[in-house]
Amino acid sequence: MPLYTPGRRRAIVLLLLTSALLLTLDLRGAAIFDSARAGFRRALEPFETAADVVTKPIRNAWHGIVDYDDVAQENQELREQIDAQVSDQIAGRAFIQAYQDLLALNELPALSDYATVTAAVEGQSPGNLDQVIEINKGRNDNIEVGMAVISSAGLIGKVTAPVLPDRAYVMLITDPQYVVQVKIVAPPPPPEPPTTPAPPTTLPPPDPAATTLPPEDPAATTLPPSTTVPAPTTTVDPQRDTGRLSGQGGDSLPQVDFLQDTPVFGRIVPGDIVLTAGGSTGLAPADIPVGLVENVIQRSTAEGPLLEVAPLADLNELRFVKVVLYKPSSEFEEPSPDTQAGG
Amino acid sequence: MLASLVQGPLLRLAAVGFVVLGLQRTLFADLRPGGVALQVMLALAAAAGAAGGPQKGALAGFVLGLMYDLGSGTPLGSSSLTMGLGGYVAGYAQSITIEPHWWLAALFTGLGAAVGEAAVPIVRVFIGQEQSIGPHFGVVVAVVAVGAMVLSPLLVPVGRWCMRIKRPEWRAPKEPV
Repeated sequence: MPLYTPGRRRAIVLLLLTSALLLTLDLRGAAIFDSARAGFRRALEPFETAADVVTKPIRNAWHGIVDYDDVAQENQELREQIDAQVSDQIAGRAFIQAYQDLLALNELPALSDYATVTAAVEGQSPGNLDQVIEINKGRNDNIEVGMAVISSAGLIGKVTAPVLPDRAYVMLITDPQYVVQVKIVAPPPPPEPPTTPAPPTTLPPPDPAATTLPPEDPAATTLPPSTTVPAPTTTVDPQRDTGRLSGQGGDSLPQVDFLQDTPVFGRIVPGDIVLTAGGSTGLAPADIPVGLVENVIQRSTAEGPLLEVAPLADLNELRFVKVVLYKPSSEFEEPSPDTQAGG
Repeated sequence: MLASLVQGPLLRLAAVGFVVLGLQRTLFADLRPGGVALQVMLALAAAAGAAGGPQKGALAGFVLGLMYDLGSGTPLGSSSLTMGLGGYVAGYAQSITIEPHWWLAALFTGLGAAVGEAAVPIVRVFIGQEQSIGPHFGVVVAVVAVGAMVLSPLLVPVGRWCMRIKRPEWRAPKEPV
């Protein structure tokens, strides 16, 4: 039989055109495909559950063989990290509480103001290009496309289409299509150790008031308890710059560009903290930790530096995540046709 | 019409597709040799092509790709294109032989899988998705191809059964006594 006959060629062209048609309709957001996906997922679920149960011993054996050394080493490192972080955690809690109090006092929005939906991670992307995970909550829990998704460590991505009634897909921050506005903040300098012996006035006297209020500051004693005290002018504001973080694929770190690189903000160095910038069009609320600056790639002055950011969250070991039910303020106003949400 | 549906390959392909997709989303999404997820759905499409020729390979790839898209949330039709291409290429390579040995079928399956996987970023770029392809993508394509070759002794008979392909019965003419 000849390889190419008009009938065969017609069939192949028909398949090609059908694929293109389906693709076009799906990308235009035809609602029927969401229903089809939901129905197909329901039909697939028993097969997936059975495959999960049946193949679990194989997977365990595989990880036992391949990952044992890594896991043992990681376990040791984690134990050391936990020991080191205990004191930091206590200090950090005190700072967070003070920060929340300050925000509440000034009536500023905080991350804790937004409702979240906790979801379990059902599966990771079976492909090699998409950095997408699937969660077990969806439209029924008020989840919408674009909402930020966080783990206990920080930002991990955003909800992407399609959002089904009982499940949704999360595009991770390493996905090449992921973009979010971020700000880079220098970590506060560590407290300097005292170089001189403590003055005798700071020795624990029997009267506690003597240790909290300097005796030569009469103004402090006249302030009512509820009055807010402005920060001393000698305190240096954290260095800050904003840019655009974009994913670079699973095997590369996300990068931040469009930085201004002005001396006003100070020089960005590895170890600086990357937080979401928020804003009226940003899909993620401000001040969600994203990661730490890993590398600073210097470019021309016009381009500004390029940063590689190591995410705080371990994107390969996600079990539970939180979807922040946050919509930017621009979403509540009349949308203008040329306005695009950044991130 | 119902009879043609029952007697055609679609039902068998869909039944096997559900099982293989279940494995793809659990076992093969978890075991990642070299950090690469083996694409067993694509390998099955290529195996069907290596067993039955370009038309059957393209059809198998189209159906399996649709199932993959519906189950994985990727744009509907994108995997149909890439898996259809993979099945077609494997089938086209098969058509140069009369009845390929198992190792030749494995080679064709690997070739089809490699072409199908390499086409994924191209299709994604065509539909406006930004892709960053680094040197690691070469490793991805190679591992997917080798994985498909290794799985082909299992997948080619499955593909043959799905597509209702019978082995050609070639017999040497008897010599006159």
